[in-house]
Amino acid sequence: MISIHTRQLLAGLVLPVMVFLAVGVMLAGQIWSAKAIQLRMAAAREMGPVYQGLLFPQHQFYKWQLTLQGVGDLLAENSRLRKENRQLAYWYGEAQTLRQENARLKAVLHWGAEDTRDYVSGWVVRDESGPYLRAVLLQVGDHQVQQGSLAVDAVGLVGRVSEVGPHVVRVLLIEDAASRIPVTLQNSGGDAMMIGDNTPYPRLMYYSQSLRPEEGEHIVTRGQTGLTGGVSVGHVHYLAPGQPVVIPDAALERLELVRIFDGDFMPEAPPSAGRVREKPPLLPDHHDGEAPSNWQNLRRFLPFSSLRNG
Amino acid sequence: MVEQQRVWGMALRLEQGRLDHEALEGIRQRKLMVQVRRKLLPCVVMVILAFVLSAPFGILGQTELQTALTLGTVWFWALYRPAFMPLFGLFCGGLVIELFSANPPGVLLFWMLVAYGVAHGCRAGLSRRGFLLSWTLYGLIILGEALTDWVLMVIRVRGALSVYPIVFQEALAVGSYPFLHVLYLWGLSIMEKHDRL
Repeated sequence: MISIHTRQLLAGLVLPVMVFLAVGVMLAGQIWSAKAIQLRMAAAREMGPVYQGLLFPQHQFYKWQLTLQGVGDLLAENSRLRKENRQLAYWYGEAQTLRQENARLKAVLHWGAEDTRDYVSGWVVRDESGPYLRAVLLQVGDHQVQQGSLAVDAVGLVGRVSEVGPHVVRVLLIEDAASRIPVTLQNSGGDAMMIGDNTPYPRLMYYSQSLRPEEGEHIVTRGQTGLTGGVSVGHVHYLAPGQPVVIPDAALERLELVRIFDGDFMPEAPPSAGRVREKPPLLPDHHDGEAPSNWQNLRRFLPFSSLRNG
Repeated sequence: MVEQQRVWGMALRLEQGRLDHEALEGIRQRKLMVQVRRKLLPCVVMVILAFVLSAPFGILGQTELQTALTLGTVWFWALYRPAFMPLFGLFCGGLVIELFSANPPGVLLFWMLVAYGVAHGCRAGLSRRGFLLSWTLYGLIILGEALTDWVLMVIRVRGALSVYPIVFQEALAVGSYPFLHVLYLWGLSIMEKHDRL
């Protein structure tokens, strides 16, 4: 039987022990941050249907609001749509002409088969945006999404996949302070780096001094290994002289349905058989998967002229 | 009304020494239910609030509000009715909330325990000095939480971050606490009335 004095002493120790445990959780979260994120993603995945249920009234409210607004200015909307329709018909004709011309030119150039791009769409199940973080969790079902894949909404780039779980992926938004995306300025063709800073307008940095971004210039992603090029990002705007930022095309403040490109990785160039390398490889290439013999290892020390690739 | 009559009838039979086994069992179950409700309700409300605020509603300051409501709940119950907020329930609730929080892991749990400890320790003094002092202390706890978040994020990003989120979180939490206080006082009065019955 525990005495009252001992019981009081033990009761007084409970809070310090729990504080100690909380500090442990904090340290563990800092050291194994990836594990902590995975755990939170798993929780969001399990609670996905509940979140959908919670959001249902809000979605319904927005739908009713849109319907009411639509009913309110139906006449004006109708005349605007007629105008837009005429314009679209004109652009459709233009696009058809350009498409045919493009196909003809590609035929002339003996253009290779184009890479088809797969994508997967998912609902945003949780908005992880806070004071220091801009990210969303998407439910993508059984699709295998690669880390680093681009995520877009109906209009433009949203971010890149930073974590991949069994059914849920985490998309780091372009506004986040950890976001770095290479972009191309469409008018000049110059390259720059779009860097998030936890504000709605990511900064543009590391551009060529001879090809400065122009006000209103459109920006797309830069095509390179590991990144799909030509995805619409936004427009340049100068907050102050020498401080260009990007006004994103995507509606980042209200994301619902997001699409992820599944195959963001451009194919590597094939080995150029028969050509002579300028320098010997640091590690021997083994395309057939066999272990190299000692004689083959010695090839790197031979003169350049006798080296063959592959 | 019917419930009240039933309880009065039970009390009358108790006085007359004619209380049967069924009535005694009913009283025992009711007492147990009251105890469980007292021990669990604030923690459950806190977890539900945090969970609902983790859904993507797109409300401005949703994350900050989640932190403010969680710490406000702990502060109120630990200060005014510590028996309703058992430490074990607080810790378990905090761990669950950590799963639905966007803050660095463990920070909210740590400050929940700090809020509990401060409220519990200064309870006698604070009850004598009124609401303003307890509100100020709550503001300081929120400031500590916001600063911890900020420092951990600065370490993670390895660069200076704006201090605006700290100010925003502090303003939101301190501004929302009186409403939370009034709401919980109202809830508490209803609960105690029901329990007395």
